[in-house]
Amino acid sequence: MTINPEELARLFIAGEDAQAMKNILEYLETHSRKELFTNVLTPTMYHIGVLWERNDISVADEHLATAICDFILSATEERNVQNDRAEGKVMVMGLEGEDHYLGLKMVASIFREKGWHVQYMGPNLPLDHALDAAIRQKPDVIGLSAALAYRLPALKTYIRAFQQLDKPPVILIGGRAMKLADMTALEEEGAIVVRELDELEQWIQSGKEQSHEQHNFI
Amino acid sequence: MNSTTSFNALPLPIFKINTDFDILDSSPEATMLFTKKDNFTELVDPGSRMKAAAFIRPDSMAQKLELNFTDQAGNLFLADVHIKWESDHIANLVLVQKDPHMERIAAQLNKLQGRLRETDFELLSEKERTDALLHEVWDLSAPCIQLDKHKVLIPLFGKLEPEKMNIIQSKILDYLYVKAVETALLDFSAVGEIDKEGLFQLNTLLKTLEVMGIEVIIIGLHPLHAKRLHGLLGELNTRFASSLQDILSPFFSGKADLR
Repeated sequence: MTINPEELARLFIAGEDAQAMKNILEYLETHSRKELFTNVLTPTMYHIGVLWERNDISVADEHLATAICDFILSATEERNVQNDRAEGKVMVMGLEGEDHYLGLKMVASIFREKGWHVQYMGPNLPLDHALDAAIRQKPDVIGLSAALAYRLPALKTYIRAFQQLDKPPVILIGGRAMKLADMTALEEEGAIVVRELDELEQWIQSGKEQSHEQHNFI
Repeated sequence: MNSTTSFNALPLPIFKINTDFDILDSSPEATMLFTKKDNFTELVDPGSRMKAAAFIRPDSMAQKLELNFTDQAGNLFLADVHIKWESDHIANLVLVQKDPHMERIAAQLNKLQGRLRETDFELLSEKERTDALLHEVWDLSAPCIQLDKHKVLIPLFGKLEPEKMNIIQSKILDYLYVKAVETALLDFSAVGEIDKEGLFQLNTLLKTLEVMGIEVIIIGLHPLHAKRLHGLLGELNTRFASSLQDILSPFFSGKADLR
């Protein structure tokens, strides 16, 4: 069973959530959730963005599609992961002014699946709130997302602020902007740019292996 | 942007632009909404600029499109832009802001929906947990108590219903087979109601036991059960005893022979 993103986009926009859910549950019988995120949901939502750019749909249609996609993410969430021996603590958030959150949820979900303790802070998080939370929670990793390329300066501000913390966390930057523009400037700031969920998974995996070898993870 | 203009009397933000998006004229509403800019593109949110460039052109059929803008205070807002070309070079654009009230209500609804969804999932996982517990209870509701090498006491508990009988039956049969039991004492003292399908299942169990060559003694039968079981038991080689005591007394008097 495969799913054509353009066809799924059509179901989302038509509000046919039950049919969409049915197809996705079938897909999950033979595919992982990461494959669902990477090969189905992400291209579907990108396609919906393209439809808006082509003036074929309105923002209201986009909102409906987002709500259905969100529902599917929640409904397929792995809920039986044991969290008592967490691999690490991660905090995921979107920049202030950044309302895109589906990617954040996918990232949170992948971390959770890998046994991490996840603090999902949601999108549009002002820097001072983010700092407060980071000071209280002392995460090992902060995942930041930006969809639009012109967020680069704001990303730098967040990264620098987090690096001033007593115990600076590893900073992962993801989101559509990573694919649209050259983000090497962020790597120069000391953040790790994650373009795909595959890369995220590899990063989690290699961190785990390192920690087993060196016993000093991150 | 100057506002000298033929748009003065109109209550919406209106722009007159050329094909390079230079603002040739604008309404007072437009000047109030945005800081003074010479080019229309600068008012458009960077994420919407490609769309604006693709559709605001004389050869485009689009008469209306949604674009995001940034206002004087730096706030992002969504608007429908209505387009009319008065010549191949000059277009009039009318901005109609999307009602933010609607947006707020939609966002609120979304939040409520999210909460409902969470509650829904919590209920679902509670239900799954309860189901698992119920199965566990059923699984435990017919313990096989070994009295001696060949005799087993099996007290049944609660209502005899099909799903429960299914679980009990396979457990009992497995046990009796593995342990090569000769006599099974089924104690009905704690049995509640027996429904029609439960009765059918019980019948299957008793018949299977008979085929396996296991003698069945039913004890603790309530008069109501007796009525229900009447007819069913006649055809089977099943014995009855009114209480467990009758069965067990030979054990204690040293004459342990149940046959």
